[in-house]
Amino acid sequence: MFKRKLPILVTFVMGIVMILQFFIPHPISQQLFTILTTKWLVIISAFFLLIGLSSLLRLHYFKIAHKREGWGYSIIALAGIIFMCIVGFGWGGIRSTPINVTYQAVLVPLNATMFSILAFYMASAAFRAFRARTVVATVLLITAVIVMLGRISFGDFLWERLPTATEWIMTIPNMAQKRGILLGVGLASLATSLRIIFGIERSYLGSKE
Amino acid sequence: MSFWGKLSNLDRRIIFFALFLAVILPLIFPLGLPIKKAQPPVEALYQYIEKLPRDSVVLMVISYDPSSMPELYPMTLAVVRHCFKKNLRVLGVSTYLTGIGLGEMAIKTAAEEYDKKEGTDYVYLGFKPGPVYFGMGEDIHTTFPADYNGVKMDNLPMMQNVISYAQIALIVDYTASNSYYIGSAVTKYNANLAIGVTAVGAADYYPYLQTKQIVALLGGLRSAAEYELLIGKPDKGFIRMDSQSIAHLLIIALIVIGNIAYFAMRKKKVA
Repeated sequence: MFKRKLPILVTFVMGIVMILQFFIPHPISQQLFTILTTKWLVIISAFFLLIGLSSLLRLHYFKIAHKREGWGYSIIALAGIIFMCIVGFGWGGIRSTPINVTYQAVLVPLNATMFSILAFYMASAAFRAFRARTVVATVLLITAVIVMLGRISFGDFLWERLPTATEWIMTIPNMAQKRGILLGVGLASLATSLRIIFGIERSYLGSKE
Repeated sequence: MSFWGKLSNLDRRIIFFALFLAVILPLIFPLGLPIKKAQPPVEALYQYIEKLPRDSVVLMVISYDPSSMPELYPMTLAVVRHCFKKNLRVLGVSTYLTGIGLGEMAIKTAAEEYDKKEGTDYVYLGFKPGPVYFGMGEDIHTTFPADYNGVKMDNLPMMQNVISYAQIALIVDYTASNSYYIGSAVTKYNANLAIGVTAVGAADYYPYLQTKQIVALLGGLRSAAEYELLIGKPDKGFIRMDSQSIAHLLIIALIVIGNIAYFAMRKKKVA
């Protein structure tokens, strides 16, 4: 009852209420929206963070306890969480110097490094996989080269209208396909939302559903 | 193995090292490659801010974390500088927990340059979990009872008349993924929105630009450099463009070499 029916009932009631609220301009209806968005959503979202943290701690704890593959990294992850908690709670919260130093000296470079590694893989993948095997692949390749050149200073140096050509690619052919994708995604989101509200789609309840 | 075969199977470590050099060398020895003019979506934001009356409030939304900092931070800083230069008031908020420090850094850096005071000329709200883009449209004071420093809204002179999006002249959302402000601030509250996004994500926002749901679009480091050019303060965006130029040229060269090797090998097979 509490594990399956209650969440489905809450989802149904809140989903229908929010749809109806959108079409009712009465002050009470608007007040409901204000309360939900300024208070409820913030509180519920704070619980997301707690659930996320507890899941993360549990996952890494079990990895270490059962010595699963890569358990050494889990020790580092747990140590990082515990260290940040001690620093945060022990030295004046999020505005404290230790938190700021850790943020600037550890999190910023680590995060930037993770993302920048992508550039190396992209260069290698472009060399190995970007082949003009067919007409379509050739068109894609030429377009990619124009856009890449148009996005750099060297493009201006090469031909001053190259950035304008890049902008044309982005605003005409690119936009046409993006619009199609956006409409498709919008319709699919609507269908999925209705399935969730009416309890047809229940995967959010867990793997057994 | 033939020459083309060997070239085709070039060790990836050589590619990695070449890219490393292509990125690092221009940062050490800047080339100063010119950018001649700003593209229309970038120019649109500059003109929009230029036309705003003095003391208008501009909301800066930091929807990115340090992983996208090299691309998005320079444009954040450039736009904040422009706002302070025009004597506009800046309100900042982060929708990413790990992006809080970046927003504060950009606003404080520009504020010091233009001698702006916290609480009067700018306010940084920090982070709140959840979709604050709806809450801020209803009541900023309820969604954020205090700023990032813990100062109550009632004690912040700038916030006395800033209650919701209705008092905000422009929202600039710097995002590394989806901008939720289109579906909330623009659609429900008719707010004016500009988007700053990584180059790879820029393609997604052109439909919104055409429909005028967003007033301007900054895409990637090039846009940041163009904006720096417009405000007459070349900085990190401009410097990093050299690095991006050489890296892009290297990737294009690799694609060309890869294709030459592919066709040479295919010709050999057919023969």
